[in-house]
Amino acid sequence: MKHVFEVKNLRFKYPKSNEETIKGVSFSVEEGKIIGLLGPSGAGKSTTQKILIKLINDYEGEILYNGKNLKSYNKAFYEEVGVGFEMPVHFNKLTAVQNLKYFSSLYKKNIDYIELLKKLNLGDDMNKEVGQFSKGMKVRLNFARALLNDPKVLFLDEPTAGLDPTNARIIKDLILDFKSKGNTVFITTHLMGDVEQLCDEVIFIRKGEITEKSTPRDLKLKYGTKEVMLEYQNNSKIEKKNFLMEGLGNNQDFLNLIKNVELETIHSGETSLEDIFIKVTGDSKYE
Amino acid sequence: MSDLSKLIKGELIRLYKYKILIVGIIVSLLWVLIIGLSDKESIEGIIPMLIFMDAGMMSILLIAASFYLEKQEGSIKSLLIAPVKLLDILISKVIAALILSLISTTLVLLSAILIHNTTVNIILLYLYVIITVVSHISIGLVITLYSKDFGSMIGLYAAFAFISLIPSIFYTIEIIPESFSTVLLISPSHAGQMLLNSAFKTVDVLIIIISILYLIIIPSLLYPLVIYKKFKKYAIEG
Repeated sequence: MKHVFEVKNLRFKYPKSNEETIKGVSFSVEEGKIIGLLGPSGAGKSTTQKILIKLINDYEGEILYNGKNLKSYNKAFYEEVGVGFEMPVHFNKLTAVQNLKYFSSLYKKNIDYIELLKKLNLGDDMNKEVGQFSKGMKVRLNFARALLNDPKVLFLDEPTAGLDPTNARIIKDLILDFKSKGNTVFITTHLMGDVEQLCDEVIFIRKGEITEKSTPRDLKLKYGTKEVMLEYQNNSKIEKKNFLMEGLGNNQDFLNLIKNVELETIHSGETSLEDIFIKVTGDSKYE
Repeated sequence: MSDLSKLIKGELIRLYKYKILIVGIIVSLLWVLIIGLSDKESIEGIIPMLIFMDAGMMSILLIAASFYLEKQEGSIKSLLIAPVKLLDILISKVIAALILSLISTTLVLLSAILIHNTTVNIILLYLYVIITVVSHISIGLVITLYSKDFGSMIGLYAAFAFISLIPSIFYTIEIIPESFSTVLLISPSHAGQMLLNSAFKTVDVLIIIISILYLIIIPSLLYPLVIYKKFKKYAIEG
């Protein structure tokens, strides 16, 4: 198991801030996995990402990239890394193709960006000035910019924000395709649906500290209740009943019910990632 | 093609697409018109001033507005995550602005020579234009880096222009006596204008030396100590 990033006791404070934004965070990112960094606004997700992509260098602690200190890497680091920002990052007076042509000229390795634009449903608009693009089109163009240099590690900030379900699906499929080639993805997002569909591991961060770190499945098991909920017809009325999973096969009430009534639905009691997000990032109003 | 050449090409394309190049040329044509309407006697004083307006004040405004726009669009972030050195990004901006200024200087100079048969030391003029542009761009970048928004940027620019140009104007219209000329060199704009003057007419050697040294010291301090350190932080803010 190879770690692409190993972050040890990372600390960072903005010069004008009284409090540290990142307070001794440690985690590692395994090669070929999709990692979600989740947390409320201002939790320190973006700052962590800026540090990992070397936009912020004056941090404390140690970060290893492929076993070497991140600070020892020069511009060659960006040959291997792709970054998809949430906000627009293109020249508005240039077309999508002109933007990508210019940025791709700065890398040694390139992909066929025309083909990628077509996959992202931007084929018909690729010769339009980016200033005329809708928000969703700019988000897709940002994604194309991130993949321009055929990176090994991809950092994505809200990669599907503002997209319709079809285009969001296309982006998610491309992310999974990227991962299937053994590449690593680091995502920050508020969309728990994306996390469930994409992430192998999630890290919850709150006020600069990690509050939870696990796989989505394990988190659901940890925070969910181990029970089964049945909905059934009883005298033309819908009724619900919950049963503990433990000893379910010997639970006579449960067995009688499934034998004798017309079942409408059966659900396991696992909680959603949204509930877990609220629980572990500590917004007590919703707990 | 080196990274720097690619970045310079990108900057020039940007200047063209954003019509900054066209605006620069239109302003130069306005200077050409002024030269055409001026008489031969007054032209010696006017030409260095017009060239300075481009090399000095326009350079500051151009770099400040251009960088501000780039930050607003976020395109500067896209450059910062590309495999190019921050130093090359900065140099490309300076060279692109310099090219713009040299185009303008050439237009003004050509019209002065063709219309009024003006005599000038061309090599010295271009050398002094380069020194003036590089020093004033460093001032423009500092103004941008310390501006919270577009309004404060324009405010700082106006304050600099007022403080810097007033001594030069008073000197030109002889409100300030010539004996104060050396003291007035504290204004980078006055130093730049004295250098450009010296390509057209005789100027005290001491004033030329002080101006050259001063305009070289300004960017030598501002680029490494302020601009290079603050540029990345400013670009990724917000």
